[in-house]
Amino acid sequence: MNCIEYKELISAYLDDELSSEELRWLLSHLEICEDCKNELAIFSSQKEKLVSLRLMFLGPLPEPNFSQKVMTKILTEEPPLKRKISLEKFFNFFNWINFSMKKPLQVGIYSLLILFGVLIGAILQDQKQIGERKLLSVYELQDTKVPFREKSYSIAKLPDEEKAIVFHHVAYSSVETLINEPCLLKYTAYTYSDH
Amino acid sequence: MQKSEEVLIDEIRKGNKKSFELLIIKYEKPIFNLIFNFVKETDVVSELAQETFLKAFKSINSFKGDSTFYTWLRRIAINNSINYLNTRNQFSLESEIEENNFSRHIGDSKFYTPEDKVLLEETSTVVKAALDSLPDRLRTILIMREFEDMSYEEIAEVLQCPVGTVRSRLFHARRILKEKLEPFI
Repeated sequence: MNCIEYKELISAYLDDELSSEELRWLLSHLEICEDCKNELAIFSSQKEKLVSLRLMFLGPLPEPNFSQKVMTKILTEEPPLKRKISLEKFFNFFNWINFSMKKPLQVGIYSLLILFGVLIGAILQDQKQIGERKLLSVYELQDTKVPFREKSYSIAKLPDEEKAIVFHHVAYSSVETLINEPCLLKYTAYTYSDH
Repeated sequence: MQKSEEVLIDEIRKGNKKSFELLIIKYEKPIFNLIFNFVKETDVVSELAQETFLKAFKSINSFKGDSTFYTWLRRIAINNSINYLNTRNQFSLESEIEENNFSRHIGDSKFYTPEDKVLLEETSTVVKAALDSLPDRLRTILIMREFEDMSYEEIAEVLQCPVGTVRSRLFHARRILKEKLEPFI
């Protein structure tokens, strides 16, 4: 380390910004270097003079109504709420990009989970629609105003699994139900006879 | 932070805008002084101080209370002043020209009346003139350190530079100042 570097340490020493190691280096150097010791005295006196200037008010004084002037501006200005919201969204979008760049594995896992959720949702929705359609088929067949022929035709048109529902409904219906809705039993018997 | 300031800031956040006036009255003088020391132009100080307080009001929600309110406000004022110096193209470009302006500040009869010359004999005036003649990038850093008592870390944060740069710039500033003041001190 040369004297210039030690002089930089002197400047930092006066600001109390030296590490303990640097302070040890400086102290051992000052024991042998008169020039650096002299620099310490000059910098120290200079600093003292500058700090004393701090106490003198050198700038212009605020005008008497300064605070009122600022308050008038504050009270008349509308808060830029809309802009703030859109800016927030804008920065959130960039945060997301930044996140996806930093953690691609996490982003992949999140994306797969979202995709899986969507698929499950679609399947459940489909199942619900099938169930509704099956029930509808049964009620259509129970309508007594529709002639037998047409009903049996309706049954014939149904997909196999829906036909099974109709027969299942008949098979598990109570005797009372079948008496009240004799058409159901008749359709079933009619269809069986077709086969 | 003082407890009363915490209460005031809470009030402002709740929408009681008028509470801000108490903070303006409390800090207008040190903020005027700080800005003047940075820009050295009396005409623009009030305008820059107004901007500082307006910015502080608008971003009051970003004040987390980690430092004192004045430290936070001072940072806005310093950034404002540095931006002004940058737009005036004097912050970095004219630094070399300014380094040689000390003689104008001290001895030129065009700029000073006989009374001023008497005043110039006072050390503090000489020191101030020497400080004012420094290039802006060195002068402002010295003001932050000696007038505002900011740590190297705080200065580095404001200037967005490494702490080592702050240390070497301060040393550089002190060396120039030493040369300028040698005949007087």
